[in-house]
Amino acid sequence: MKSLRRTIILIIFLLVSVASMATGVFAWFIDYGNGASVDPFGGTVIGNEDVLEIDAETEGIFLGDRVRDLVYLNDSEFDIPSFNFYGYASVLELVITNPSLNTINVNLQLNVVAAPEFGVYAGSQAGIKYLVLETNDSMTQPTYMAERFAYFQSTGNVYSAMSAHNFGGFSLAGETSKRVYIYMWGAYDGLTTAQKDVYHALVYRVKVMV
Amino acid sequence: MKNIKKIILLILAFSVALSTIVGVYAWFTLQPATEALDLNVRSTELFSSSARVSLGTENLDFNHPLYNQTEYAIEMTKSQIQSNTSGSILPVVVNVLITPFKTINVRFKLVEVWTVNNIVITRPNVFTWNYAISNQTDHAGYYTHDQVLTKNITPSDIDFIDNATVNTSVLNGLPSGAVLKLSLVVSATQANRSDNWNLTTSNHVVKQFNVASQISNQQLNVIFDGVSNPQYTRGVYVEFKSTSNNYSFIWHTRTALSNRLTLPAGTYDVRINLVNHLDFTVTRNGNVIEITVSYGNINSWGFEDVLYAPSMIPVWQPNVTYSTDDMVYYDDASGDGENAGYYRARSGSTGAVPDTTAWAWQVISVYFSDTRVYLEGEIIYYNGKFYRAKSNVWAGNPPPLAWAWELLGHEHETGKVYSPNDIAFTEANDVKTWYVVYGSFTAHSGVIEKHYAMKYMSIDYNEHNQGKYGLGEYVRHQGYFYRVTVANNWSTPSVGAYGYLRVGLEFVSKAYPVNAVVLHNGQYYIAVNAISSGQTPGSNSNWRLINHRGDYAGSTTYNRYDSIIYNGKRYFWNMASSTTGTNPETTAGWWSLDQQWDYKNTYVQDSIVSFNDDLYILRSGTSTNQTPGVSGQWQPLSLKWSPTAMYYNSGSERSIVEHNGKHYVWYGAHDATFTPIPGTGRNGWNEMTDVWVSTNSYVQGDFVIYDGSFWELLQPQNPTDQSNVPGIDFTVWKEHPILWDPNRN
Repeated sequence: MKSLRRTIILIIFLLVSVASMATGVFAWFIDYGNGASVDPFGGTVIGNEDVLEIDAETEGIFLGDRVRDLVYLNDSEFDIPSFNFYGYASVLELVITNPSLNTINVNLQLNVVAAPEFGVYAGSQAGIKYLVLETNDSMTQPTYMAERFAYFQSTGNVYSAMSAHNFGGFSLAGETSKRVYIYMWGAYDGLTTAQKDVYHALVYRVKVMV
Repeated sequence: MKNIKKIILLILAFSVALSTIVGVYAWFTLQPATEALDLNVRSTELFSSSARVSLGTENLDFNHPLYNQTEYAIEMTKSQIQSNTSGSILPVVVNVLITPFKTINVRFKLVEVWTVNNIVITRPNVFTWNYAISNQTDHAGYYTHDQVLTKNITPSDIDFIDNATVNTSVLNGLPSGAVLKLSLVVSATQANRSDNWNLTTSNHVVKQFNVASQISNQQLNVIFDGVSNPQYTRGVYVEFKSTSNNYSFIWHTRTALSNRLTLPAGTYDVRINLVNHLDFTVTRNGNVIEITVSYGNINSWGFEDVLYAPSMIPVWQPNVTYSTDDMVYYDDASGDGENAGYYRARSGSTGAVPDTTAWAWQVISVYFSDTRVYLEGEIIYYNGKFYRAKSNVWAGNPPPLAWAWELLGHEHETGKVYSPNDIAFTEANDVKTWYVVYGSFTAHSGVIEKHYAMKYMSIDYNEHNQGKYGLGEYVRHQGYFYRVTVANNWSTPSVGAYGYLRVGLEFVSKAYPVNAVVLHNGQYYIAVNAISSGQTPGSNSNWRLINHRGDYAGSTTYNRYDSIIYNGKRYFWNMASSTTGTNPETTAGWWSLDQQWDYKNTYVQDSIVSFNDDLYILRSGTSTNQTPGVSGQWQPLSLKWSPTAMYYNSGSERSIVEHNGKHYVWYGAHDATFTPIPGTGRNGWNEMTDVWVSTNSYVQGDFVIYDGSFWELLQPQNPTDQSNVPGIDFTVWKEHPILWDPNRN
């Protein structure tokens, strides 16, 4: 009788554990889109349980929009202390609103998707670096960026530190909005030899993921 | 041993628990992101600019009599130079205003083009330009500003030219018809690559052009090959320099060029005012010197941007008299800037406020303005849509207006001009209804059904389509499917209607082939011989009743045409010999009477089956073991694309399909089967959308939406390489930007 009880408990435990594991890992991996389709610029994003409203402050008349002033830096420049990163950054400005009552963590990612139609002019993820900075109450954006880069450089690996910063996201209290800036730089050393030949004409098909 | 088991179990449980924790953590914290925004990122612009030029006490702006509004150059005759020269000084002052989008360095070049009777002459050394800072000029005459300009929304005002010292003896020696055109080229480079602009070894591209013996009255043309940035067509300054001569030419696309080049024999260094990533060739084709510009090899990278003739358009002033074609910027301070923008004068005026005097001014913007006159062919943006003027349109005539405006794109509206193979849609409650066009006409009504040569695309019969259905098409009407037997008939589908044949299991009076199965008065029959029209099942031996014998029993012997129920489905035995104990689901000879397709059946023309929740009909012949949608002549009874379907493209017969949530129209061969998968290539299927699609085929004059702009195809067909993408090559797709840029348009 005792043995049967043990067996039943073990079976239930294993069932629950395996089911949870499978479900969790499945949920982890699903739904990372990689198509080159065009989505509306601005709109609503469903997070865990909350709905984020995004205002990209564009004309809103067309699908898609563009950044036209991407400038490239090389690896060594990303390591120069006090380098004027702000001066070379292209910027995308967003206002994100959390209409729910709950404080949530907002994580913005910038993904370069495959766009074979661009042929040799297709940019890739390695050719672009980005930094997500929310409005800072005590610092201007250039100062905030300089402060962040000083930290990134102090870690010894700027790119990893930038990625970690972006991945960490920021907190957004319920029923509040925040202005967010996505700064972008071309990463010349991330280009292939063929891309370097036409770096000035590369086009990055970018999806901003929230 | 017992302890070892316990330990193993413990480790196992721990491992599983750990995996569970990781998985659940991931589930709750690393939720996949949702796509929110979609944009293209590219390198095109580094700055914006304008120029402020004065001659003595006069400002030489865009509207000044000395400003050539076509060439974007200050134009002075020999006598005008003489009269404005005081002592040996021409009091020309040039300032350049730069708004840097990035941290940049800038350099400027003052362009001198001298002509006599429209023939370019070698540049006489009339002027010595006195720059704001001396020794900042490289060997090609570019003046490099000595300060880095930091990204800023406020323009930097840079002194460039203080005046010019005039060699009066050279000036006086010129022919009386000598004319000078002065223009300005402004370049910028990202400041961290300004080493490329070393004054002694600057990075200008230089080509050689050999002239064996003098060539006279030559035209000059600049051809762009695979270049993305259309702003270069605003002006290209070309310089031919030999040891003894220096000829300059301004090329642009605003009007036909009247200047000609006469080059004496010699070897010329040729320079153009473009950027470091562009290369060019110089050739001669007949009496045309051709400069072909394309992307070149990158010797030293660093993005450069260039503007020919930065804007000299002044701010409107109430006390200034303006002439026709003058341009101003009006800030509309009294209206909180609502009507601020660039305006062009329609007639002379003084004090006429640009945004309220349509007779005097028209706004330069793609946004429709009630106060503006539009010329035929102009494109405007109004209420979220683009229109093209069909004729000259006087002020106060907004779209929709059939005689005046044609809506661009596929949405139907009064005034649209249609031609065969066009498609159109109407939209209600976010649902689009698509039509194909098979005639040439101009829409006289916003109600699409008032136009005959348009066909509603649906499997459902529509009265509007009377007279338009093609032979062999299938339609659904009041729950039944019909095959069109007489093309372009005017009947309404029903049993016995002219031009339609009802298809399906239910018996109707018509001819049936052998093996056709019908349902009549609750009984199944099979045609054992070919049936001519009028033979009702049960009336003769050509129809054989299928005898139902209840639920299947393994011990029962079944004869031909006996039917049973097995696992909820009805089958009948259709082999000459009887059978006992055979599985109806898997044994050949058991035919299904269910609508679900069964590989054991032999289907005949007009048989309707269900497969994977889709209905199919056999177009012709017979079919055994041919999976619908995979092989055979199965036609889906829906818009869903299927490889086995036949698709049409002739007159009013045009096929539209749905695939992966998108709609496509067939432009391939008529009566095509086994068509390629829509959306996977340029393969005969065009996605029905106003947004540019890489796999669509376009023709000259097509308009698409892409990348935040509206684009028009200039070439007969869109190419198959990367220049198919709008924005890659401006000679392929022409952009119609929303905002008018006085520097780049």
